[in-house]
Amino acid sequence: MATVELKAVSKIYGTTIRAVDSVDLSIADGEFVVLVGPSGCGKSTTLRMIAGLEDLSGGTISIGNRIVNDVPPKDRNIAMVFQNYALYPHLNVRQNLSFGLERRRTFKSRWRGIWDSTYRTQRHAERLAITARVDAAAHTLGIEHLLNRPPRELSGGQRQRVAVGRALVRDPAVFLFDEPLSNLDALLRGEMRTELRILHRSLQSTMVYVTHDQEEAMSLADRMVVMKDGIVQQIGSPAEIYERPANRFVAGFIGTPPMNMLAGSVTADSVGGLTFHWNQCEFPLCKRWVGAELSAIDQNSLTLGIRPDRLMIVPIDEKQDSPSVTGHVVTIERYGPLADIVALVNGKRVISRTATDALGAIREGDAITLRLEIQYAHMFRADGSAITSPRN
Amino acid sequence: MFQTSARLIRILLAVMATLFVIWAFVTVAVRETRRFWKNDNRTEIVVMHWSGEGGQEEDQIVEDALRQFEHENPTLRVRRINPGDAGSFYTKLQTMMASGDPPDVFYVGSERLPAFVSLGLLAPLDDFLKRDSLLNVKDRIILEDFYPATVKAFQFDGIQSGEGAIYGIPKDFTTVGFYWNKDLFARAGLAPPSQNWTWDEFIADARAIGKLPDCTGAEFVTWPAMIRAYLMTEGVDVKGSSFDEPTISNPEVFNALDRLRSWRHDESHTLTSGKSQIASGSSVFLTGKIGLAGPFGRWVVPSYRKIGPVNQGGFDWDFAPLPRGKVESNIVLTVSWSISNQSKHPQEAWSLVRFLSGEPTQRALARLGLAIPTIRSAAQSESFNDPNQLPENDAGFLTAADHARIVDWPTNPQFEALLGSRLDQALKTGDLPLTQAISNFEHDWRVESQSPLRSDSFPAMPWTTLGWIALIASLAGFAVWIALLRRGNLTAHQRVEERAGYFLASPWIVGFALFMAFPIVMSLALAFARWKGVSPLSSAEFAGTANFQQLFQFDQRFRTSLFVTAYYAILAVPAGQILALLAALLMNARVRGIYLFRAAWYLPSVLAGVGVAVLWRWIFDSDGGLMNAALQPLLTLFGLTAPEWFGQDAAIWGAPAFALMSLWFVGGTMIVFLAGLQQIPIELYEAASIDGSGRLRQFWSITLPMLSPIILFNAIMAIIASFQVFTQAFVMTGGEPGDLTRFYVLYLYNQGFEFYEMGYASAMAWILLLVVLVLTVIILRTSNRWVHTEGQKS
Repeated sequence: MATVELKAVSKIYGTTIRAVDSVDLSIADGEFVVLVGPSGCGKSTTLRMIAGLEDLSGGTISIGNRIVNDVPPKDRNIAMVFQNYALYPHLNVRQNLSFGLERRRTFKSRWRGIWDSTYRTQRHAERLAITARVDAAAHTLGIEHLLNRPPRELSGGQRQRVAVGRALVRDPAVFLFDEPLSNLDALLRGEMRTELRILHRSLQSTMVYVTHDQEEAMSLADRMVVMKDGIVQQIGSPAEIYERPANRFVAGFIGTPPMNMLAGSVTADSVGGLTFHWNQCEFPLCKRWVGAELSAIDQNSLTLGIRPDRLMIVPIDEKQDSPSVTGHVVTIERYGPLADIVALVNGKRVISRTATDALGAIREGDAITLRLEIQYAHMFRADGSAITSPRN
Repeated sequence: MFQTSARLIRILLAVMATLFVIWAFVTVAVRETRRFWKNDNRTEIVVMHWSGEGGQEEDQIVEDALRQFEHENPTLRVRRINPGDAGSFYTKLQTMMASGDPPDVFYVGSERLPAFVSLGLLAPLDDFLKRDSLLNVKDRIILEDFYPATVKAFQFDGIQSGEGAIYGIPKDFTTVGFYWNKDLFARAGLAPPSQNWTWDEFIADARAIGKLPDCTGAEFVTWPAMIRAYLMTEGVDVKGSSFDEPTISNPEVFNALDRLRSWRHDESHTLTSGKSQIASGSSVFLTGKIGLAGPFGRWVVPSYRKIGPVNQGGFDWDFAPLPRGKVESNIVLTVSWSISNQSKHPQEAWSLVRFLSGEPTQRALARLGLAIPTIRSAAQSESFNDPNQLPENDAGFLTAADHARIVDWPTNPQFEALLGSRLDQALKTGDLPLTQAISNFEHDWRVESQSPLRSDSFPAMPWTTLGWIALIASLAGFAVWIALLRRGNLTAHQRVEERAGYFLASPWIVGFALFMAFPIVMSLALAFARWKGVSPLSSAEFAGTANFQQLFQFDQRFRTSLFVTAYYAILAVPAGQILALLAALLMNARVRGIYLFRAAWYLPSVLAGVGVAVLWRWIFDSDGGLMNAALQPLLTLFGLTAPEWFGQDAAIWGAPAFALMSLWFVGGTMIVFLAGLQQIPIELYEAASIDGSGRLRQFWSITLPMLSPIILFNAIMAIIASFQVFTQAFVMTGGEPGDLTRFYVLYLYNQGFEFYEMGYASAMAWILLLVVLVLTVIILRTSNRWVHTEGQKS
């Protein structure tokens, strides 16, 4: 159990490639933090620096209030689960699980027990303790029946459990997960995700988890760290990040399907009402944007972001009181109760997520009217940063 | 564009390959057809000789003589073969004889004559001589003009040399003696050796020179022939009336040998001890720190003439004949021109021998300084006694010739080999007391003459029956193979593919059957045969298990060679693996310029064979070799001296020296380890480091287990290689001193190509195969305990 504190942590390869750029992050004791971002964003490098597998180019990392920059991995009291599991192929599951414990034994000497009976007793007790801990971890993960098998005889999911068990058995201060689920198929991934969440709840230990899968991040995290190009974009709870993305990148990266980004401009009328112009369409903005500082420069190059589930399908002839756009359907992708409709509006593509029931008889190629739930819209400046409305 | 150029390259390669094949076959064909077109119907005589120390010049002299002969005899054409040195010569000769197509005329060293005659390889020449004399041919050979001992050397009556028919005309000869360093003699205040000096004077001179700083009195080589030359000066020999009754333990012989042993081992700096072989005998004299070196013949003169004058760092030297003991004596070592018993043109061959042994050719060769003409008048001419060239004392060789005797050997070449190796243990390395060495020799020789291979007469090898058995067996095998192929229900397309596959593999299959399978089967058959490798296969006798009986019950040297090889393997295999692994670990580092380091490690493996062996002979030289020069300062700290690797310490340090040398070739093993290391996933190390392992622990817990399949592979390859040590030993020590570096394959070679026991050598080869097989099986069987295999077990 420990806090993890990153202060201005950087990793520079060569002289110019800033893989991780001045990351500040403080992880509370018992917190489940997920680092998420597209590949190459520096999330894995950050995790490996916490583990001690990579040196820092700048900044400090502390674990449990101790600066560990120069502490080798074996002395950081951490455990790590690797993407490829990294199980020792020449050892069976039990040996894999106990490997770390064996290394940390107090009574190591094979020979001293021959003449030193106290030592022999202590050594024996220690061995029993290790066996007990391995058994307990195996029980927790439901892999007791695999203990005598070599890794090559296990399925992907079983290997994953062993890899987690190897971390679990050590009872470390911090768990590190480096994309641990990405080699599993979708079904297993969902299962393991749930189990990890349960595991965290029962252990209450600090966990740092890296993934490129934003859904996985959302479902697991207490707090998410969204990264891009080595720079932290936003830190916050999944809800915060989903509802109030700090910038266009975060808004686009989080959520499936991605947020519709409508690039346009804003005009104000005589009574102070705001109108957004996009692609030959006009829609009035909520009153809440009135107070927001939409400077003269911004007004002509703003982006309105609206999530697909806030772009509702409505009957084509129905008179709308809220803003709507009209186009025709390109494709419909059905996911059971939900369906994504990709539509072209005056040549620009938008996505709408809707209940399958609401589709009615709409086919590909049909004309369609989509209503914007404008009160849920996000506004971004030309540089990508979000504009916060006063009431936000 | 790419497609057309790829096709172009393919066509080009095909054309080149075709041209190469045509060229390879056509050059041979053209040679024959050209003769046909030229209407060359001259009779061809094949001549084979060597030109070891004589080099290019001897080669040219023989060539010129042959052209002259062709000119004088327009109906004859001479084809000349020169395989190089004497060793290659005898190997080539053996192959040609075994194939039933020996050269018509060739060199024979007098020491090989009894063996060759008893194998029926040489034609007796008495009738030719007699007829020439009757017809009074112009340039006929008059044996009375020759030094008598040289003629006797080529007479053999089936039991004894020096009597009976003559089988070769001596072309040159040498007597032996000591080369002495005039400068050291002057510094020690000694008078030059006189023409009839004694052993007492010899040893007094050696002791005096040994007292000079950093000098040794004399190099006295203990080759069997020289030991006998030494004994003859005391009026004794190692044989009585025949070789079946060795006299080596007679008191006079023993005392003479013991005196020599005492000079070598009881005194320091009087004689070099154990140093002669590694410095290849004659070459220690070149250092200028040896007062006397011998007994050597005339053959060292060309290399000693390169010593150069005093003002160029050289020294002045001369020759003194062998000192006298109770009697004045010397030996002749001589080489003849002989005629094959299978020659199809004996008359023409004889005329060539007559020409080549004649005075003009002898004189031409004498100018090389290498050998002494056997015709007295030629020897006494200016051609040999060149006053402008060292040694001054050319006459010393000739006066010695008048009371010189031949050094004959029995038809069984084991006598000389055993005498040499057993006496070396007492005289050279000093491992054994002389009495022990002598009784070992007597025992071994007695056993040798009682061996089942010597006494029994065997039935002829049933080649016809064996041939039928082999034919039926291979037909049956072929049938089974075809049946197995048919069993799989193949579609028409698969059949076509299969046929194409066999067609493409056919060059290899044919090559394997002809050049591998057939010889392998033959060697298995020969393992149960007695066959001298110099006669056609039809002369082979069926010996049953006699070869194996001899090996396991009688042959002490076989056991020694197995022991030496095992000793070497026990050292070389683990040392090689460990060093290769350590090097691979280093070379796996990600460092700038690592490719250079890797190349440097691998580089020695690129150089191989004789050159490297010669190089290492210098490194292990106990006088100023690099190894001892490096070791001595270190060892001095502990009050130790560096070993004489191939000298008196060879019993302990001989095989380890070769093991050390084997580390030179560690690069190949290293590359395999390196490839293995790079296959180990980096995450395993990361996981282990997080799990609490330091570098060393990671090596034991990750690297070694993950590398174990490669260690298994490398270890098996290394074990196989360690049982095949040959070139190094052959070049560096020739198995000496004694048999202390006679590796298994070297002994096998000795048996097959020096003692002409091809059947015996074949039996040894199959035992070697069994030994290696058993070791490999043991390792493979135990491997599941320590080798981790990644793949699923099938």
